[in-house]
Amino acid sequence: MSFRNMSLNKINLPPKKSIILWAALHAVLLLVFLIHGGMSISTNLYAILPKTNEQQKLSDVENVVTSRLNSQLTILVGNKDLSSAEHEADVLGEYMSGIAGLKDVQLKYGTGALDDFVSVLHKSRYHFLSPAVKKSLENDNINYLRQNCFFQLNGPFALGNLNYLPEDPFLLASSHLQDFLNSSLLSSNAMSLKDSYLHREYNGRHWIMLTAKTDSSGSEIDIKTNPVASLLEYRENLLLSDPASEIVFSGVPVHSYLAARQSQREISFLSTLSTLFIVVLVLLVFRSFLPLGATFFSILMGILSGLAGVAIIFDEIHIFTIVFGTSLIGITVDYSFHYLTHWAESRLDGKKILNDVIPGISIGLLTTFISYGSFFFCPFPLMRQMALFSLFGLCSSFLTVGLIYPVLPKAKMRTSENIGKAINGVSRLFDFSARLKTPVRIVIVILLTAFLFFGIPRLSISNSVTDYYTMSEQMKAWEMTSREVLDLRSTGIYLTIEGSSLEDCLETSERIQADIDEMISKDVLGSAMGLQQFLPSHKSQQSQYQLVKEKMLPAALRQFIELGFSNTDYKNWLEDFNSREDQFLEKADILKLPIGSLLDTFDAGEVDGSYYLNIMLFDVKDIDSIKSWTNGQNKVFLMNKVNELNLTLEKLSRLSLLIIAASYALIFIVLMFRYPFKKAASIVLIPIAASLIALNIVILLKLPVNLFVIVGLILIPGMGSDYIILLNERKSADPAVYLSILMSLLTTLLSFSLLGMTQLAGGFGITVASGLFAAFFLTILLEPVFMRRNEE
Amino acid sequence: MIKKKYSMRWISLIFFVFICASLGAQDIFDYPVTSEQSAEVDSIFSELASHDIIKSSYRQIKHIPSINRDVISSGIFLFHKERGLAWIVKSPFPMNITINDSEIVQEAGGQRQILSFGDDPSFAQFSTTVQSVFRGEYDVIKKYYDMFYHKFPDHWTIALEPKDETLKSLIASFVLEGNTQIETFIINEAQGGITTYEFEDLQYPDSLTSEESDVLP
Repeated sequence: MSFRNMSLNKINLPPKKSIILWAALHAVLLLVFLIHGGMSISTNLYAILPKTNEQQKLSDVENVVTSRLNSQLTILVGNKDLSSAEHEADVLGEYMSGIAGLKDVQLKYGTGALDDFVSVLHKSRYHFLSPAVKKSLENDNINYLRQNCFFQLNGPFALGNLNYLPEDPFLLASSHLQDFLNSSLLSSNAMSLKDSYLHREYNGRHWIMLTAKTDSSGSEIDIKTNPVASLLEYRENLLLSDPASEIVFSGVPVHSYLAARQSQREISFLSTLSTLFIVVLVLLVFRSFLPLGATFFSILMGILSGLAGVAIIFDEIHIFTIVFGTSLIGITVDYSFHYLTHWAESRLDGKKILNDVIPGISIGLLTTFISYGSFFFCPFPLMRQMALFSLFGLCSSFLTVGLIYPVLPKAKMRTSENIGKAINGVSRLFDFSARLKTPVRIVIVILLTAFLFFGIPRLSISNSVTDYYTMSEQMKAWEMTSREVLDLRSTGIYLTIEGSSLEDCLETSERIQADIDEMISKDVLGSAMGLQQFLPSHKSQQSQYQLVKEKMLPAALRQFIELGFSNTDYKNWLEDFNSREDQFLEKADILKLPIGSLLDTFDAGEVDGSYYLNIMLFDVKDIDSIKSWTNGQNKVFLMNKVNELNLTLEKLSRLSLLIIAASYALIFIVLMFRYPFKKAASIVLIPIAASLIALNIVILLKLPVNLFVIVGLILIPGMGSDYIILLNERKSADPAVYLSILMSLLTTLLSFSLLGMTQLAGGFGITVASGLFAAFFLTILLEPVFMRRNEE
Repeated sequence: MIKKKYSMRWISLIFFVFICASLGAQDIFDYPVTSEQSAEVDSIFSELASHDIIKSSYRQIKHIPSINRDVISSGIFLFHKERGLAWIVKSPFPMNITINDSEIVQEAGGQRQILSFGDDPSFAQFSTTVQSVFRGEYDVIKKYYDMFYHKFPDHWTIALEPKDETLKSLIASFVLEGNTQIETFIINEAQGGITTYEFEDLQYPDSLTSEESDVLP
């Protein structure tokens, strides 16, 4: 028996068994959900982004770096008066130390910060030379070292520590410290130490910097207990008590928190309005609480099933998925309305009603499944979560209508009378459409086609990652102030070095350093910073030691004499020098330096059996030159997160356009099994035209046609074909379907229109809402024509 | 009786020595500048700043505590209100060290090293302090330092203790001594090192010689 001839209305399950089946299916879902360990909500902005790197290893390295940056929080405390700024920073620092979810709060840098550098540089004085000292030794210019030492001794102010003189007669460590101070290696921003704080005076304000990290759960926890919430509250109170003060936040945790807070508000707003609308609509149409209870039971089970499904497959559900998921309220309610209008109108037995409605909603479910299912071909975590949420929700709702609703008692006569009035009213609209003359329909179709020419020719796909997250005005201002005060030069572009070990990576980094220096001199980039500038490889350290031994050692005795030391002092020093040959500077040594956060970025560590280091590139002016240079390198990769994201989004957009075409084709093929070719083509034609109208509206509203809009277009064939399918599957002269279609349209339209008002899903909501409205309009305009033709 | 007489003398002598020692032990940091003294200190700085150019012979004694050694050098000290400060070292090796608002330049045997202040505010503050002293910028000094002052019968002593903790970690204090003009300038480093400048033969020429202009361009 073919699907076309198959009767979809032969369902005959006893009420008890149907309830048991429904309960069993939902119990299995609940059980798997519980075994899986429940559900956590993620608010991390980065978690929704697609993978940007095709190479798994590099993607993992990128994730390591990103996850470290994700937890970093930078706070600037500003005041016109320095001591007030310092006091406020102190109080805030103390407050932050007590906030759960925050760690590594850093405000004051011990006055020994410079001593730490001197100490490390002193320890490695023969293995880690300043570039100038190295060059002088290579050029046999020992005088440079001598003079440098006498500058320190005879000048007004000595860098480093002169107490080390007997151990370091050329004051090599002091020379190196001078280089460090000159080359901005101590800090990646414009802040400098003042009163032990990182400070900068900018635009008439003294700014003090605090840094902290959110702990591993910092971006995942309930936004009510999120540490950022406490910080924002603290800021508000401070500004009330001292309006001259300012606190500026930056970092991914703040963005994630504010986006999550906005999403939470939007979820509350959308679900409250949708719910209220459904309450009013159901009570107005049915004038009974039973259909209201049944409808909300179906919605509730749909949402819970959706959440459980996502939690099982994805471990955690992103808060943005829930924002998109609120549209499920408007979708799941469709099946309920279809059943309940028949239930109220016919007052028939549950089984008979089900047999009437099941063909329409089954095919509707199938087409919607195809639309949502196609999202799985798009490697965008948010889209996949959204699809899974909707699929589980729709299945549950379908099962509730199919297995639970038939158990409902027959509708009361009063309900039936009320629904009759509503059906009569709605039927007039459909009758009016049916009575329209063909020329009028043709004119409307021509006008709609002409309307398409206003927008479609201006179509351009937007692939900027900034389309997907709109910063609040407050956040924008904070980010701008932060960039200005800190004078951040980072563009998020870096080189990743792959090696078998840290030593291997350091050797590669040293090998490419000359090329990087050349690119800097050619103004391809402003500067670069990597671990090799703080920690030379053992190989390099060994060669530097040998250089010192060969060139400096013969001049050491004279230096000792000129400094007035004794022969014994020289012998002691020589003994010490010889014993230091294998005493290399190690990573553990530089961990003591106040450059901890930089090290986090430089050293990605071991990932999948290989070691990775990153070299940060600043003020990149010619990315193409760097890219072509990288292509010629072995195990050196250029990482450009924003650019890669944009490229990935472009690929995803192209893929999504293919998905739209494929889903139309699949829906058409599925319909071909049920309907004759012409009828199947007519049914598919409506959502195609609706999609074009929706796209046109988005373009005319000057919204970016991005991946979310294209995703909206994918949904239109699945949901927009439901109206005409329901009309096709109705029994002849069954006007109840008009009412259920209109109620479905209103609730779905409301859900997606409200979604259109959100920051995150604005384009998506507007696309689906306008597409579904266009599908409905085209259905009532063209359905009478199609029906007539098919009858002929 | 004689014994008693002697013992009284000894007691008096010991008492006198103790009193003197106690007075000597009271260092300059026991005398913060009072509001009454403020005008007096201001006038000392004004007096120091009354000359656009100061030229003097100097002797620098740098004490390195770990080896208990003094490194001594000497030469010509130059101050120009607009161009900055210069140490023209004659002994033990000829070299020039100049400090202006933005950098320290060290020059010897045709070799030149520049240390910019851009990345290290401690140097900038060091430079500002030394120049402010000779420029008589009392308000600038007061802003960045706790000031101490004591007037002795034959000279005055002014000490400056950095308010900034970071600078304090490098330089514990500056001490200036003088009468009608500055005679000694001491830099007490936080790590125990002491650099003392003894100025002699202070002159106030109207302009720099061409050789001096090469050092302080």
